[in-house]
Amino acid sequence: MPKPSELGACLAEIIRSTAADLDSVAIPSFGTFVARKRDEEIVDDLSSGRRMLLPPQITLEFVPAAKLRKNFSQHE
Amino acid sequence: MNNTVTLPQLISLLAAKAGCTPAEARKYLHDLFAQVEEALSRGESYTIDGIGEFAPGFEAGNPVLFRPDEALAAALNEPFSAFTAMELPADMPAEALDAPPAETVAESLPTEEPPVEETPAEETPAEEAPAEEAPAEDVPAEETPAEEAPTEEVPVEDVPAEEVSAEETPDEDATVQEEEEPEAEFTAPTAVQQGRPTAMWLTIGILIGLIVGLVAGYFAGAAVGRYYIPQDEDEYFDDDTVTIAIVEPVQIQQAAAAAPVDTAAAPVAAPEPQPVAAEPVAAPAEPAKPTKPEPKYDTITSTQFLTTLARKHYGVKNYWIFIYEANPSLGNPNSIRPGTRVVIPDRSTFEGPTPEATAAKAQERLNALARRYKL
Repeated sequence: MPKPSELGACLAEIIRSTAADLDSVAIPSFGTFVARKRDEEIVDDLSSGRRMLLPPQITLEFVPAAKLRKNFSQHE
Repeated sequence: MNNTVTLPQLISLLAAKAGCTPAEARKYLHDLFAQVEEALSRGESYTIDGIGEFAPGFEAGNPVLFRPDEALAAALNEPFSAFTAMELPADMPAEALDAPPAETVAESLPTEEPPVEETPAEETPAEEAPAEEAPAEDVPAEETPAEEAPTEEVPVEDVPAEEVSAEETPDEDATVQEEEEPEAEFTAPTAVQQGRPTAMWLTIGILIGLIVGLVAGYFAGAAVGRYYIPQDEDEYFDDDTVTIAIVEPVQIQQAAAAAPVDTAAAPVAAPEPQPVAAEPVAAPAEPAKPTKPEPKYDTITSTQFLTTLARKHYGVKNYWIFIYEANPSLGNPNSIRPGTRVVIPDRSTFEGPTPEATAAKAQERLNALARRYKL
């Protein structure tokens, strides 16, 4: 059996490649890793009055499962 | 894009990538996320190397905070690494800022339906990228800029994009070429390959024809051989007919007793015996000469059967049973091969005191033979 560190690295690579395709990874009873792409946008910096063009960006987000949220609400 | 990798798929991907069994991958994932959940329940954060940090949230609607690992975030945004935040000139006209979305860089990013301007070859990597669940590390990074290349209608801000396209074009071409090469291998079968099935079927047909011909020839030969021995039961005996065909000219008996019978396959000239004993019984058979009878031989041919020989030598067809019994090696009387040489026993060896007795004796032995061979 490979080491946990190796498995973790493989898991990270799988999540990375999945997110790069803008796909999601769902873990039942835990949550879903969702990749969201933010298109490029023009942002006005009010303080300096400059307009900046921000490049597109992909962010990896985590959406907890309902069961996890429920458990946390119970703990609270 | 917009697909979800389920847990079984994740397990299979992890097992394939890590070189472990799916059961081990499942256990690892279960233990990992159980630890995360346990830490979060204790109010602690948990970091998974390469993925990110999980921390308890303070909002009811967002109980878990997640911060992706820096390396992971950088890898995700590597395709956009050439893009940097740039300041737009203040004197930029409003029309440039209000450019249609199709002309922006965003449209060149991976989508399910690439722009029409892209060539079919260029679309191949774009379509393959979303379908792959576990691609190589560099493949998606390379495909994404390849898809960005055909940004033909980018506005003024596309200067870096054009540079990127120029830089990425060779990779795109290489990728396209690489993908075309495997496709080129799957060419239409050549005429030789197409002709192979025809030659194969032709060979099989010839072999089948030979086998059928051999089998047919064997059975045909066996059928022809059976013609030597009549199959009709009436030829051997007739249970319904009690008549004894004994009537024969005395001259023939005397001639048969006097002259030795040659073994040559001479045509039989014996007269046909009367089917009904209308005439009185002829004189009893001539008593055997005191001289030692010489063995007579004759040959079974295609026109001379046992019955024919009996009629020839004795004048009575049913006396063939005595010829048969004198040749114990004949076996089944229906399967005597033509060319078989048989001994013609002397009449004295089987004749009874009267012709009727001899005929009855012959009939009795015929019945026994019929029961044995189921004639």
